[in-house]
Amino acid sequence: MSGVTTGEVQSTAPPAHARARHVRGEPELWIFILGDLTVFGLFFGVWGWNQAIHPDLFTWGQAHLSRGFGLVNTILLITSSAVVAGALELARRDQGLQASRAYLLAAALGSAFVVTKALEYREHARAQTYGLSNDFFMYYFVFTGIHLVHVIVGLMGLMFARWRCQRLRPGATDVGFLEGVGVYWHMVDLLWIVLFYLIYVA
Amino acid sequence: MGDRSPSGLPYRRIVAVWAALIVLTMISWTEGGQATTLPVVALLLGITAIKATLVVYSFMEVAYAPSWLKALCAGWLGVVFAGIFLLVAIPEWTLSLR
Repeated sequence: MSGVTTGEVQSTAPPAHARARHVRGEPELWIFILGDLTVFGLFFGVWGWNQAIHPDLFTWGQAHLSRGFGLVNTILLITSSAVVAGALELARRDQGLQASRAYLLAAALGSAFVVTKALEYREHARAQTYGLSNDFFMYYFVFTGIHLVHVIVGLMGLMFARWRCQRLRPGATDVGFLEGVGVYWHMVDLLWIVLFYLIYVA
Repeated sequence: MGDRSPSGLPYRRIVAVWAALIVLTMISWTEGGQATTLPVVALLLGITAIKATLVVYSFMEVAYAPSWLKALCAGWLGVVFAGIFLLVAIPEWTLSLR
């Protein structure tokens, strides 16, 4: 069924629901994001290379990891990431109060990740499988530790996003800033998805 | 003045992506750690690649990004997972190249 009659002027504007092809967040942020992804890409390569040349060490090391901790952490970050995506959508629709609550929930889930990681590290300390003992655990602590620092930085970003949303005024939202916080947090989630595979699944 | 971009991801899509990520995670967790044959190893890596792609294109909204950014992200995903495949799935062959 055509809605266009011969007398109607065809609109050339994109429909309202069209998603604008623009960079989410500031372009400069993406320089940092891509750089960080590259550095972690190298980390993944180092891990994979060492697993290739020391397969028995890695089999031994992985047997001494709690895969349950890995699973819980992955579920926490995936869920937190989804909540952040929802928070951004709420902010875009000027629902500042709900958006701020969503950022708070995402930060709570991210904090649970930090706590879980700390508990996991403590288990290793008790079992004396910490970094100095061998290459496997050295790489394990360095890579998950650097990722953990990223999580903590991300948590501060989420709390700042929450604060900004509490002051939301329709039409005055700096959605670009919130997009940037979201992109960073999704990157943290993305990196953990790969780490989870390399460390706990492979 | 903020950038009032039109709606990105509808909530349904966010929940669907979340559910897919969780299901894929559960599959790889239950099958992982005991993968010995190449097809299973490749499957688990493929699942991880799908999860990573979902986060990049859906959550990070790279699907709606300019072409140059889409290309860079696709390049990163391709290089990372090809590298992991070579080192983790078929290490003997990769090392024989030395």
